[in-house]
Amino acid sequence: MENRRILNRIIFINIANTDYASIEIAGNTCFVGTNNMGKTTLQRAILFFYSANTRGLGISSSQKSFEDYYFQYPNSYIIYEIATEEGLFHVMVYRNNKLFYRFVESAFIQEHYIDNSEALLPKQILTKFNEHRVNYSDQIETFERYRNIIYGADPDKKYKKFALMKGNSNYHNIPLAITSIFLSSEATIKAEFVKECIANSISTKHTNIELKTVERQLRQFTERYQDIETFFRKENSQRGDLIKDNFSQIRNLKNKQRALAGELGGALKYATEQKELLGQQAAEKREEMDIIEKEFREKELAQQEKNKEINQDIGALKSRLREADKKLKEYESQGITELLKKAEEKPQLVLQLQARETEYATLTAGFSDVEQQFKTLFDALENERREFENVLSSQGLQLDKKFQEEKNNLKDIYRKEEAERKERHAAEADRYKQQLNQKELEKKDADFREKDIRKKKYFEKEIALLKGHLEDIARHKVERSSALTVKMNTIDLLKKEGDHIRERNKLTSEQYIAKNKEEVVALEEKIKVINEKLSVHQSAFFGFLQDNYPDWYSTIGKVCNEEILFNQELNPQLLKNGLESLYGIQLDLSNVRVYSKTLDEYDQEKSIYQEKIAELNQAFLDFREEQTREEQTRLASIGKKTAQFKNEIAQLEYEAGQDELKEKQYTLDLHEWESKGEAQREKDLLEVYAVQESIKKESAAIKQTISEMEAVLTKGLTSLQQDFNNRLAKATKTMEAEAEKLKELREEKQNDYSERKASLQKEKSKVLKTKGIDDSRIKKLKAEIDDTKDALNALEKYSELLNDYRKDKRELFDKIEEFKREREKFEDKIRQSDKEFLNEKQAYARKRTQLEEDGRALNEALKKYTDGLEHFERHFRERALFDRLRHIIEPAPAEHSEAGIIGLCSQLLANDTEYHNQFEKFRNNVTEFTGRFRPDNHLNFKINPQAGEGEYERFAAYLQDFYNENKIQTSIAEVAKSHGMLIDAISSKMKALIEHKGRIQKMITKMEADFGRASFESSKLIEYIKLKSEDSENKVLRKLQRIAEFREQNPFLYGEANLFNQANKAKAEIDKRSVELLNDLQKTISEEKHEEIRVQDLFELRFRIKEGKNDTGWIEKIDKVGSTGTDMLVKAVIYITLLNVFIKESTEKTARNFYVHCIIDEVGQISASYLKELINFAEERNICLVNGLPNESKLETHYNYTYKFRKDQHGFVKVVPLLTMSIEP
Amino acid sequence: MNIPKQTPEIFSILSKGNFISSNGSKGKLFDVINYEDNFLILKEFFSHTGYYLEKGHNYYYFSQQEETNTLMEKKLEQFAYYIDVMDFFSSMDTKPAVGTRYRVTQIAEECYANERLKQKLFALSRREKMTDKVTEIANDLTTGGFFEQEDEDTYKVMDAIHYLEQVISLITIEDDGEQTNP
Repeated sequence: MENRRILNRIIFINIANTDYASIEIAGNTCFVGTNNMGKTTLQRAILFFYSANTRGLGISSSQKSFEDYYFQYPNSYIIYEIATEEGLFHVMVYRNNKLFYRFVESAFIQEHYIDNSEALLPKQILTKFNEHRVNYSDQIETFERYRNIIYGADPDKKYKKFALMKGNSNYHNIPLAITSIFLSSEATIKAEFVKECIANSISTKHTNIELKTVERQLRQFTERYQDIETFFRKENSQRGDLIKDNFSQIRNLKNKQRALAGELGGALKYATEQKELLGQQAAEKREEMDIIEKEFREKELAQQEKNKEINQDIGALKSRLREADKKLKEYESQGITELLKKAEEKPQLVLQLQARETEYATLTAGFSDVEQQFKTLFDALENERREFENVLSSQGLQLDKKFQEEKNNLKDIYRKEEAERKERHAAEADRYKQQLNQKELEKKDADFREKDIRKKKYFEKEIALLKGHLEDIARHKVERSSALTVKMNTIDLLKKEGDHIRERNKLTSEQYIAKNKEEVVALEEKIKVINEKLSVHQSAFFGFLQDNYPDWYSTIGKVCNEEILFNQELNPQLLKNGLESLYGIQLDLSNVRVYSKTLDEYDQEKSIYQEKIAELNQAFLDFREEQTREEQTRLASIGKKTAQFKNEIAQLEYEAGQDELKEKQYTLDLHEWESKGEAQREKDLLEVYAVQESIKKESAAIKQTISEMEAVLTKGLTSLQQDFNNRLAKATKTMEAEAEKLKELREEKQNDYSERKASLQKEKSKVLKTKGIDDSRIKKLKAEIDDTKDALNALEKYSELLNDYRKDKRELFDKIEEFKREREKFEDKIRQSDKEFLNEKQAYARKRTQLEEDGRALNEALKKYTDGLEHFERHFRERALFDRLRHIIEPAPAEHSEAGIIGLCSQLLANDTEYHNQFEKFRNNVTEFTGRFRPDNHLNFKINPQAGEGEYERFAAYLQDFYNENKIQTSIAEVAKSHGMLIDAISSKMKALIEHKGRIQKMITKMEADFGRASFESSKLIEYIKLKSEDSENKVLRKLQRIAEFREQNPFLYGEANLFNQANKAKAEIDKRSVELLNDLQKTISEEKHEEIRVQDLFELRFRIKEGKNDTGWIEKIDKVGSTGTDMLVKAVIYITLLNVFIKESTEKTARNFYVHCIIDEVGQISASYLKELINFAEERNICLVNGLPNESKLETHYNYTYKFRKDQHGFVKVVPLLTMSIEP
Repeated sequence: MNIPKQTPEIFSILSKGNFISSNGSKGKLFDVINYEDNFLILKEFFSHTGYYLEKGHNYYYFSQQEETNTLMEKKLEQFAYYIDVMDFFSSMDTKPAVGTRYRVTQIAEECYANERLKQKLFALSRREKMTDKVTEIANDLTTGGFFEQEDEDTYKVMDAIHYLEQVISLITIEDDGEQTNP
């Protein structure tokens, strides 16, 4: 039975090229075999026992993996048999997809694995174990677990028995060192390698500083810092303001553009409607004008026709009058008056003729009977007188008749005239009355129109629209005013809330910092205490016990407090070993707790405190970041709300401004419309008044005319009566004169007759007396008869003329007056008609003028709209601007616009030009602003110039939000946190690294001591191997150290989460310095191209070897010390020393009863004597060498086990033991 | 007189005929010159070297009082070329405003789509590939200090472009009285 623990045997079953091999290796072992015989395969399998890591076995990537090469079959096994003080156990390694382990509590028994020369499957093997009642462990599934068990670090006690050694937390160094030696045995030994081993022995990879990560973090930090720095540059803040201004101007211009577009749309529709309406109205007016013109022309024609007839009548009358005049003159020239007078005497002449003729006949008839004669003469005279009386009475009768006729005639004329006049008057009066009635109606119309005009609301639609707008504005004003108040109040509240948050956070932060500082100080105090203990422990009682009294923890450790343990003035001396008494008194201390702690425990405690400090620092940073973030989030939300409200206020104010302008405009428009309306009303009223006045005047005139007519009629009638009376009187007078004349004639004749009778009587008497004849008388009678006959003949001669005269008199001359009256009547008619027509003409002219005026006004308005529409079509529709605004223009409802279409088009174009100018400036400002930042800046200030206008507006909105929400503060906080974290992380990592310095030094010292113990006295080959450490030359490390130092000097520099605060100059300087340090570090990292900073970078290691007369001096790598053999020997010595030191460091000192293998391949160059010395050197350190030799030589005789490798007929590698016993037991 | 510690760096850039623009990678040097009285101090300092520190809108450069005719001629030739290059960039959709970032591939694409632009580019460079042509002229502007290369494909317009614009705006074209309409 072994009194040590050692890997006793390795068994291959179906491994690689080996079907079965059992190799005992419980001592120095040598494998002999030519190349490619499986030496390295076996050595690697041994290494796998220690490392249990398939990747660190030196298998290149081009080769098959460990699993695939070794475990080709389901029944491939590597079995490691371990010898212990209690007996043997073995570990089986098999593959079931991945590799598994089982610990078996017995020595390796071939039958358990192989049945009928056939390896069993794992399940069958377990059955076999069960059959043979062999205990075995559960399947160990991870390499880590296996290593823990083998190196005695597994917490499960049931695996304790399978431990090869009792390792501490650093046991990983042992497999690492064994692996490192195996992997680098053939190359030169570089200080780097040793440094690495030292590093590995005292630290884990966790302590390394990954420079890639640091560099990445630093780059991120620097870039972000740079972004913020750029943000705060003067030009940029100015540019930012410009962008904000531009943006707001652009927005206003856009709003205005939209409003104008809407207005234009409304105006266009309104114009189209108006165009139609006004066109219709104008056409109606034209039609109306045509109608009245036609009517007027018709009336004119009728009037002319009517006048023509009357004129014809007048003409006829005039010609008759002219004829009468002419004839009268002719008659007068022929002496018609005389003729008439003579014609009147004709009957008397006829009577006179008859009487004279009778007288003559009588006188001439015979003178016989005078009596008879005289009687006949008397009878004739009586007859004559009677005849004359008859003539006279007939003349009297005729005269009377004539008078009566004339009287009747005059009466008729008078009555007729009177009737005519009355009739004419009545007709005239009726006409005038009709006119008067017409005027009355017209007056009523005018009165009604006046009322209507007074009541009428002019431009009602326009005024209602404007009033509607004004009402809207007034309503909006009120709403806006209350909204403004609410928003202002809200902003105040938000501001207060923001202040409150800041105040509260400041307070919380201060409290937190104070508490955090307090805790850190307390922890540092504790660390300081531990450090003090550790710094003095070697010279204190503690160190004495550590060196001279193993297991002192369970005895003295329970009865001494730390004060005594770390007292340096106790001068302890070991009197007797193993005596467990306190000043001679034995105590049972099994239930007493240990006062003291081990060095590891102190280290651990210190690490815990340091971790706590780191945690506190981290917590502080987290707290600060969290607080800043939270504060920023809340402030951002407040800022956002405030900005929103401010924006809304600005919008409201803008709207208010716009509304005010609109209100002014609308009020002006309203006033204008109203005054226009009033002016129109005034005009209309004036027109109505004029009409009324004219009607009044005309009515009065008509009335006047009527009354005048009445007067004229009365006067006419009176004059007619007068005329009639005069004429009657004249006729009566003429008749009386005639009668008088007749009377006078009768009296004359009576007298004549009486005289003639008397004369006859006298003659008779005379004749009777005388009877004789008187011829003078007959002669006188004869002359008288002839004269009368001549007069009658003359009358006969002119009788035709007189008849004509009488006829003309009857037909013409007597009617002259009548004709004249007729003519006057007709002329009156014409005058009247002309007068009437003149009125008509005037009315027509008035109406026509009115219509023309209306038409002109309509045409003017129509022209305005048509011009507008035409302008729009010609100068606006084809523009791109119209296409852009089409969606606003087309659906806008019809509305009158004061500016007019042309004005609106011009305004829109001007607005567009202004917009483009502003946008150009805006774009340039945005480009310049973003151009100052890195293309991928973390503030996201970037722009894609190809994306169009929207992209720039999006950016401006983002920038505005950024300013409003003060997002830069979040970035500052983040940068401050990453700054703090970076410095903290670098500082704590550096602290952790530097803490290893002491142990490194200790290790080097130990190694040097171990080298010193190398007993090469016999050969005196190596005089000495020396090691020393120097300060690191790593530039990155130096920069890191400077940052750590900076952190130490400024432990609480992160009070404020702002690296850009220039208010506190001292702090600004510190911030600047820290940022510079980080920048320097980043620069150095990128220059130096190191991937990480490890423990080995903390120091430089130098070797010095003296072999024979060769002194290498202080060198960095051991390339060639002497001959190949010497060289190899020296390297092997160094490896073994390293391994020994690592084993010591990694295991419990009290239980050094195990052996490990050190696998160094290809040692064929070392001479036998040196090899012997080497084996002894290893032996002294409980290390068994496993070496490989290419050929058999005498060297193998120095090993406990020597195996030769060869292949059998099946190509399987066979491992054949050459010597089975150690020649030097 | 305390000159800034960056003076040698500033001198080495400006003396090569380059500009220091506020929006370039040497923006910090611009800040240094711009800081308090540094401009006057440096102007005075550099005047002894025969260079006169001049200030433009967000950029600095050196001028020389006396230059040989040959040098002036060379400069004029160079300017004639710059004018053509500026004409080319000004004809693009994205005008060369300060801070504009141009990508070579993007310019080349635009040239493929725009025949006029393509003609202009062909007149400026004899390289075979379109992207090489663009790179050539962009590099020329970079050498002049008017552009700065940010990465392999991206060039940024510097504040110094104002210098070019200003010089171009100073050019007056004499009217020769002959105008032919195409």
